[in-house]
Amino acid sequence: MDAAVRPVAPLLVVAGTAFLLLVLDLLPPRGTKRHLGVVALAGVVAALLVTVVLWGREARAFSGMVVLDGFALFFDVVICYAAALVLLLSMDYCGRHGIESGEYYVLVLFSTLGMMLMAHAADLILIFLALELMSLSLYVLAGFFRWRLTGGESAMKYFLLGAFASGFFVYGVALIYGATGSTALERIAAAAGARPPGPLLVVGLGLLLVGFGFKISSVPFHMWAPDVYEGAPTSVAALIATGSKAAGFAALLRVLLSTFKVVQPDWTALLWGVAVLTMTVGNVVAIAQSNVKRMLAYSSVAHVGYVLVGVVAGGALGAGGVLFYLLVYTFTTVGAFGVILLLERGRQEAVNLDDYGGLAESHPVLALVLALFLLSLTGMPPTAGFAGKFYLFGAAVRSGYIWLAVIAVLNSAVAAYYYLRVIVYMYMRDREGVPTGAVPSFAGRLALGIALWGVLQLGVMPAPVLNLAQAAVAPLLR
Amino acid sequence: MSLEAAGFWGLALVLLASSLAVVLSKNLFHSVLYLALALVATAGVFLLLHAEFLAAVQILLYAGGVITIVVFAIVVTERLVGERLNQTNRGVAAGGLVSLAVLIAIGLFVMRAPLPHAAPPVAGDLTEAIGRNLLTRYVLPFELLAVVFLAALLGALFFARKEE
Repeated sequence: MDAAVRPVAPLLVVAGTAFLLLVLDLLPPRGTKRHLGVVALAGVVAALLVTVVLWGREARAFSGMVVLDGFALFFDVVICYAAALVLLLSMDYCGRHGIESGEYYVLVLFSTLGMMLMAHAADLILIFLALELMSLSLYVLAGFFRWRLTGGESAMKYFLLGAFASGFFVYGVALIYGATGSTALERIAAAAGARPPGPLLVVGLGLLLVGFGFKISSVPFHMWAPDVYEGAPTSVAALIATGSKAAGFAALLRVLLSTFKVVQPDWTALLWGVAVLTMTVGNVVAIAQSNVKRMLAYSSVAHVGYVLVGVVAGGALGAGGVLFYLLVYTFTTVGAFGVILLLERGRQEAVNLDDYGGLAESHPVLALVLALFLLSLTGMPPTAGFAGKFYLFGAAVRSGYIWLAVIAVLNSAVAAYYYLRVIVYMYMRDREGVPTGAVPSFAGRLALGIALWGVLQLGVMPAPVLNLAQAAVAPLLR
Repeated sequence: MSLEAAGFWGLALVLLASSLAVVLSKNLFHSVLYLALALVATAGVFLLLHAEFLAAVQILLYAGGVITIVVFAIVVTERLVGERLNQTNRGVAAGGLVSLAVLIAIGLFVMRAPLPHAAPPVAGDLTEAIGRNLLTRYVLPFELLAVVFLAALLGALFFARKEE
């Protein structure tokens, strides 16, 4: 492989597959578009394999704009897993709901490309473009139910608020350029370290944080999440909840840890408050939800709060814990959305809490699988959610943020209420009215199987992956 | 006052007046024309700063492309709705208050920020330098933009397509 393109090799595989799909889509119609999904999946799996082959290498390319390091590769793995599972879940789902088309798979790949590039980018211009590629594709995907009112609302709300957030982000980039004379992260770090930080730099960083805050849906920029998740196809909601958040955290961590070390006390204090607000608001509002997709939306907001605890804690323990948690969270959340997506009641998606009454009796396996994912979201051993939270909150205690850890644990207890409520419905309530049925889908079940394997494997044996995660953040902390 | 300063203040006056007219004019179509004027005045500011390329892009993209699209949007929606669209300004007071707050914030910020007193000298042909940089140092963002546009086009086609 040529040294110049090696740092972007996994990205090239994804981009190439997307262009191939565009051409394949033009071939005479074959009734279904399922084969396009298979090609897209093959591309993502190939990218995952390339990532594994590149593991342990470090390189830079394109005048230092793109880096290949353990950090980027770890996020490549998280994002490729999210994309692959979502593609598996999409195959039958899209056909069933009449939204199967070539564009769907191409846009999933384009957004995946944007996410991976966010982890690789070492220049604010490139981070912004990657962010836009990811977001634009997701805005369209969120509106794929375009004949439904909620589908249009989902896409419009995401687009308008997202465009606004992008504006903040670019303004921040401009101010930082004004303060330091560069958009390259390394040069910004050098210029910022040379003299005490002026107002331009601090305000610029603040505006960047607003942009990131929207993309990872931290309070107070979380308002879009429930409406978008509710109106978007469930498979797309799973991608927005996992892949786009992981990508947002990838760029956020690289910018904060490697570039803005000079003002670390300032952004740590700020994120401390944001973490507490995000956890608390997410969990408290989730209690009031009777729509399972909206509940998962608020729950995903709360989980962003937990991850921010790790960012505040900092160091190899905190940042490593963030990477580990994002992998765990990806498996768990895609799994939970996956079960919802396979359930139907009266030809409608089973999104209401009532639809889950007596599910354990009619579909014992699916009910058990969903219960395990919900327990992992709660943070119960032996699931991966427990290990993830343990390392995050442990890192906070080690760094002296005792109160933050206490608030996070209390929040987890609150969260147990609404996760366990679904389990109570499945196991202790009787079903009423039309029974909820499961859709036969081999691809969907395969996705659930992989997600479940991830949740149990990382729960029982977290140490090897945690060590990888801690090694991956080492280059940022140097 | 130097010629440059006189040019700046003249342009600033036109820019401010036309921007105010954009939000205050009742007729939506007039608003768009004032917006075009404001965008051209911005291009003038770029020219004063010796950013000829940026000025050309500003006129081509904004005054040319964006304004055309906005005019199209107004014409098409007026036909769909079947009546003249007027701009209503119910929140003038609140909007003015917010603008004033933003003005004060930016003013304070600019006064405290360490800005250079004289413009740095410009060497060589800027347009040529931009072209070279786009295809060498910034080739990746440049190519990535093509992918971003492709995604946007796909999305636009998807929403514009008739139901099957």
